[in-house]
Amino acid sequence: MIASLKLRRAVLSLLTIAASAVLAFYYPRLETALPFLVYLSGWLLLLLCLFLTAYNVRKKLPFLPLLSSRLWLQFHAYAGLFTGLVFVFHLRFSLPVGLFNLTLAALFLAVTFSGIFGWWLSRAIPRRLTTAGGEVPFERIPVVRRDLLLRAETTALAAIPEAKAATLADFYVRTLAPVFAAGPAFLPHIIGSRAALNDRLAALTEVSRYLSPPEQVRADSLAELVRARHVLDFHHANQLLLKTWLFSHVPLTYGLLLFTALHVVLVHAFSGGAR
Amino acid sequence: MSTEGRQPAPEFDDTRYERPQKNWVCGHACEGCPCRLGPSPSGACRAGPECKPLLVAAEGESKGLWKCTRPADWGGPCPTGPRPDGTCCQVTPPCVPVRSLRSRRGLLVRLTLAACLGLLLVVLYGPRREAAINPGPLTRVHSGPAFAAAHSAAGVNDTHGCVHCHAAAHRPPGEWLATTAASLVPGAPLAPAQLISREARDFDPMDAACQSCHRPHSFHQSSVANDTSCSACHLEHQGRNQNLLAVNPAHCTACHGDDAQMTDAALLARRLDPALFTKKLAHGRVAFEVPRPPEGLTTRITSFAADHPEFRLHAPGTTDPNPLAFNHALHLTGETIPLLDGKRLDCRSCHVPDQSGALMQPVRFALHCQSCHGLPIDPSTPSVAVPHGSAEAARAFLRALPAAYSDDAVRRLGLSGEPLRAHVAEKLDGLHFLHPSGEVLERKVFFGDPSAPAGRDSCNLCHVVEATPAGATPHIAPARVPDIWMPRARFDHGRHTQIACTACHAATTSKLTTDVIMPTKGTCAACHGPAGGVTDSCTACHGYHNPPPVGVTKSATLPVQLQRALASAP
Repeated sequence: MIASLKLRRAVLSLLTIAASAVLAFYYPRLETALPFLVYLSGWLLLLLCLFLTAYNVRKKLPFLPLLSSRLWLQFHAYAGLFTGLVFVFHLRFSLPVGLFNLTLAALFLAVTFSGIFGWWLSRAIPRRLTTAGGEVPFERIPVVRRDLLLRAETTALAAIPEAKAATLADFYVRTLAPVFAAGPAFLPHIIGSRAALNDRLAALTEVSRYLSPPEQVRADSLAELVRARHVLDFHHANQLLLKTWLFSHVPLTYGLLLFTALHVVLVHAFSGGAR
Repeated sequence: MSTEGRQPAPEFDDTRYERPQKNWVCGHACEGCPCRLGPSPSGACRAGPECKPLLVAAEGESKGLWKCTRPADWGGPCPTGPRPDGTCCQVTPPCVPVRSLRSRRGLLVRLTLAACLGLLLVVLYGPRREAAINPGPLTRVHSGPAFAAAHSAAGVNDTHGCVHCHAAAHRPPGEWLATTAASLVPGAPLAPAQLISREARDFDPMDAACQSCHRPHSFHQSSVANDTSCSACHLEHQGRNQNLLAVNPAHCTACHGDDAQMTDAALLARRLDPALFTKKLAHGRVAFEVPRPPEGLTTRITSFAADHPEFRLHAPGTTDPNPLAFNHALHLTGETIPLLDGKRLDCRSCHVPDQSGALMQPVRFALHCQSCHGLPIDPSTPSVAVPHGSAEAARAFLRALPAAYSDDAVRRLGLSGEPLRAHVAEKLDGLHFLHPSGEVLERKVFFGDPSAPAGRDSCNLCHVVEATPAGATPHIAPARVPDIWMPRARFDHGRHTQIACTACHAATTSKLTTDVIMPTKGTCAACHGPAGGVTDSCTACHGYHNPPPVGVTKSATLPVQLQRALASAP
């Protein structure tokens, strides 16, 4: 197997383009030669769908020597694009009319476009996370968040005996404690908004004028923790998106397979030659 | 501050290993302090003492001490140690475990599957099953009140009309599985091996439903090697306005482009009654007949431009058998041809489209010839002319010329009495001066005057006039002009009015009646082909269904005939 990711990507792209070109060139010509071509394209479509679904099965069976999941994902993506083209030819470039067939087509399109969206996410989000900095497994984020909360509380409380004043602690209780205690926001981080972070940092800067030098040091620490919390929430939102797009892709896929099975039965039970 | 956005990963306990594939996570996980034990595989909270203290008694001691056994990765022995009664003092607070993301996704998959399955069951066993699984509206002719009424008359109660064609429509869905399985076994119509066949689907029970209304219906030529299902060409469920007669030419070339099938058909055709291949025409129509060659007409054709044979009427030795003498070139280009309404003759002067515009009306003497070829007896009285259409009538007219002159004078000049008698006598004298006797006049009318320049008013100018024994009427061969020149194809003149007649018919160079001035295949293919861009579909000219001539019926089903023919083939 080709070790280089870029080379593998180039080879698979070329293979997909070649297969698509062959399909686009020969399908219209074969239509005049093979009366049952629509059945053949239907079976091909079903096989491709099963192959694409097999990736999900492969992930559940990591102990089997069935190539790496990374390779499977690449095959899955390129085969998915090719399947979309076969689907278009199978439908003869027109949407079906019947309710059942229309639902089936809608399911296929939903699965395809959710897959393309997920593919884009899997390319875009890691880049965003790298840019944001930090690296934390999704499941550990609550622990880290709690750790940040405790550290912020400790920092705020530590300023009281050092400065013999509760200015920073009051500010923390009034302004920052709800922020550290709250759950992570989702949408602002997906759209990359920094408004909330800037507001908190601005409030910290504002209160710094009333702080003694020891409290200033603690305030700087608190500012670092606020930033860390922002980055952590950013990770949470983006990683959550990266995981939850599958909540549409995978269930729709199995629904599609169910509808496809009935489609096969209907086609064969109602075709003239099958009675 | 400058490290914002670039700071390393937050610290966390790397001695613990996350297992995202687990179905349940501790309810405290979202608070950032999950218990170390975690929920059970079934999702039950396993909160409780963190260890099970061990009673350690030194040698010789009877009571011993309780020792904490909390494992090292849980923090090791706790500082306070077990209680005096031997119970652990570190009790994990209980929680309500929650599903992991992976588990929630799996649950959603199962719910989606259940919802889809439920929806499908409701649809398949509900009252609107036919409407739901219908892949598209039927054409108007196969739906609507009239069609439903026909079904109710046949004892079928189906508002959508599915069951009339699909026997499976009223069966329980469970039986569809068996039908599907039966259609996939080797040898079945939709078996995998069949799908790569070039042959269209053979007759099937659905065609019987078609024939129940479309009766009697014949299918193509008698020599067809493999009959084709109606539904292979006439696609239903394509919308109410779908034209069922619009057929993909691929269905034709699937057989006609296949050497094996054409060979089978040719073999079969040699053993069938030749009368089966006679084209049935509408009553009164005359077709240009070209003898069927002994080897038949079956050849491999993949497209019109590529390998369609030359039209049969251009077969070597084929001539127009019409006995009428007519020079197209002279009439269209000759300088001696008189003008008609001030214009030179053109094709439309004689060839007028019929009501449909597809074919031409027959050329009539009275409408198209008489204005020039008036058949007058006496140049001074052109209104007294020999009647056209019957040699006997012409001869009777010549023998009653006084009455003819008298009738003409009464009708045209209003004469009577003595002036009338004088007028007739004058005319007869003049005629007698031109023609010494009645026999001479009769001969000149039928056979022309050999001593005079070629006139245009004798019968033999156009017709073949055969002399007969003395006293008998000469025999004139009637004209025989076909209405349909290519009986196995159809042509619509009305759809070709944008091109000149002479672009297809070489009339301006044709001097003999025997010339077949119909277009060649090349003339048609110049437009009807890939180069011309106009459709070259088989059905543009040919029809698939070909009823056998009246009185000729197929005595056996074609497959049996084919088997017999193939069995006896050399």
